[in-house]
Amino acid sequence: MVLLVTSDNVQFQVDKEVVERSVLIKNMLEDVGESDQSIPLANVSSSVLKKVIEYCEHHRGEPLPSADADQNQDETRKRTTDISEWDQKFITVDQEMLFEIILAANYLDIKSLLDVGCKTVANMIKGKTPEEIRRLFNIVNDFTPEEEAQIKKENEWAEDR
Amino acid sequence: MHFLSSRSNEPVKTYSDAADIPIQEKISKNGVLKRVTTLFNHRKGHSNVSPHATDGNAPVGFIRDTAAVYPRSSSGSSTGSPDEIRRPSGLGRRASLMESLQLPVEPEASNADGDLRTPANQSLPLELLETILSFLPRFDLPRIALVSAQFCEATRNVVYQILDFRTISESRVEKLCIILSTSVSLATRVRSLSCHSWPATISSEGHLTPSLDFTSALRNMSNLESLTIRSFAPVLSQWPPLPFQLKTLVILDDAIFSQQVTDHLLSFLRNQTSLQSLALPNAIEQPCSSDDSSHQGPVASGLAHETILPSLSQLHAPPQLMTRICSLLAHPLHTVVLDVTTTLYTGLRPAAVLRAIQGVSELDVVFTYEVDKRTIEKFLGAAGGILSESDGCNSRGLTVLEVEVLWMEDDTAEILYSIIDSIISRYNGLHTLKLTTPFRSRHTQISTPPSSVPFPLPIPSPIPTTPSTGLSSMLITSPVGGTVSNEFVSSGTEKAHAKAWTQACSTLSDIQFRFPDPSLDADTALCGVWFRRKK
Repeated sequence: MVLLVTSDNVQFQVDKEVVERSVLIKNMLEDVGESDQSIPLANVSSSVLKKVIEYCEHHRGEPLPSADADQNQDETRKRTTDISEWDQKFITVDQEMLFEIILAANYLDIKSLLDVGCKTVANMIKGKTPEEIRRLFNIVNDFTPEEEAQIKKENEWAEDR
Repeated sequence: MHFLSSRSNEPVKTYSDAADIPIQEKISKNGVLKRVTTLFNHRKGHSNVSPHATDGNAPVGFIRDTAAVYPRSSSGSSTGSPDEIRRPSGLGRRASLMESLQLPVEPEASNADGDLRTPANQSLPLELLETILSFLPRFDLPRIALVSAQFCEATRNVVYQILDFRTISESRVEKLCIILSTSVSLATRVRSLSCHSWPATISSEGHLTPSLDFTSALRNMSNLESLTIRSFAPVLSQWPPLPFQLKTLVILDDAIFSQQVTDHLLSFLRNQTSLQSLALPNAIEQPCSSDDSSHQGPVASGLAHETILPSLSQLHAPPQLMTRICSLLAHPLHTVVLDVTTTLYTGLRPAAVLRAIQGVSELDVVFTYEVDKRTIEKFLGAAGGILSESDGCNSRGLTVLEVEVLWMEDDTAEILYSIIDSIISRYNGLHTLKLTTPFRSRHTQISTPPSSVPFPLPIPSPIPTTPSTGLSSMLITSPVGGTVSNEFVSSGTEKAHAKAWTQACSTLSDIQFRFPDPSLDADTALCGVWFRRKK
């Protein structure tokens, strides 16, 4: 068992096998060796860590992506936004939590969870107009009409389906 | 404006058509000539050298990720509704949701969660936005660039990082080249470029030369790391030298070996000190060009004594060019892919080539259909003697050997096996042996006693079987139809050979047989068998 302490000072006791899906923590444990010391996670709050642990519990025992994964495979992986049923249900949360999960997955280095989060956001963006995307994420349009025209022209070649 | 087009001189390439289907579909959708891509796919089995040149060679129905095939069973951890999980309000619920979690030490803290972050604090770092956008198809991105400056920046990084002209229609490629030639800031984002063709103009002498826009676009790509290029001479032999330091270079020329071009190539390579992987998969050498004078003859004088390419670890080239490049290296290569198209009688000198690559850890030799059995036997025998680890000197030995034979005779596989029979004992230190023949002969399929375990088919993933021989094996099949006869999938011949080889070579523990072009008359085609020595 490994003891994790969140930014809001909540302690979680988690199976080593589960928590090692985080490459960050796995490396930490390898460096520290056997120890009862708790691991402070200054960038993760308890509500987010709870979700992250839930994800790691569910995917316990699955093979971790190897560091030298084939690049081609990586490319095809990237071109699909399919998410498995359980993951989809898991990631059905409000936008704030979704972003928090993505940030935590990135910080903790849990590639599969980061992918699930990013694919979810990609699916939200897919097919929407710039205005719809701005409304969705509460973004301000900071372009002048001239800049907008220039960007349109610059990316014209990529519009091919 | 014309696009370079090319003919293929290599009949062997058509064998790989079956594996090209996904690429072709992608291409035709984008309006690029289908023919061009088909021809430019080089031979199979080199994926370890040049990921960019081998896209089309993904084995059909090869090994699959088990996790992707089987629906995963729930791990049993209880999962409440997402809403419950998101809003923990008390000790009891938290404890019941997450069985393995210890109770929070300071329950009060969790109640404050909602106040820690406000909805305004939602913007993701640029790097994560790029990850998100990388999951979207390219045609979605121009629109997304218009959302805001941050989105625009992320979009540019995603769109321009990897460019492959095969996925862009010809007129759009011209537009793209104009943009890149005028905007340094965009061109410097390009890390990987594949141009199997490019916008060209016809010069006064009737040669096709790359367009000015394309050339200036390349000049702007100072961060380019990976380049796959249709033809070396018109682009890379320019002066002044192009600004990038490549890590990976694939040159698709199919007639590179004139002395002059080789000298140009070597002087280009002299400045590429970061290059790790170089491949010339289509280069052809004239048989018999190796009367000894041409080797020591008018070599580029400045190059003779200096060493080049300090970072090179992978090289894919035909024998003479291989010898030439290796003679200029100061260190042994890690991986070598060698295309042998000549025979002992037409100029191949196995010992010279093999001594040039001494110290290599992984060797992949492809023998084309012109190469006879005797040449293969001599070559592989010499390789065992020259490349294996020797206790005397401190050199590393060969650990992985891949042999691919492209004959289409009915008993190709058996002939190759018998060659291996006679030479395997020389490979001291070899760990992995991979043999690729186009298909197993019908003869083998029928004569094999149908004694083996009936395999439950279709096989979605490799199935380990036969524990009795000291080897564990896996069949790799492409489940085209529903059923297959036992005779077909049993691989007694391969098993018998594998057993004999592991006895003759004590370090050998991983033997793979591959048949990339299995015959089509069966419902399920056997693509490969895999044996591993049991621990």
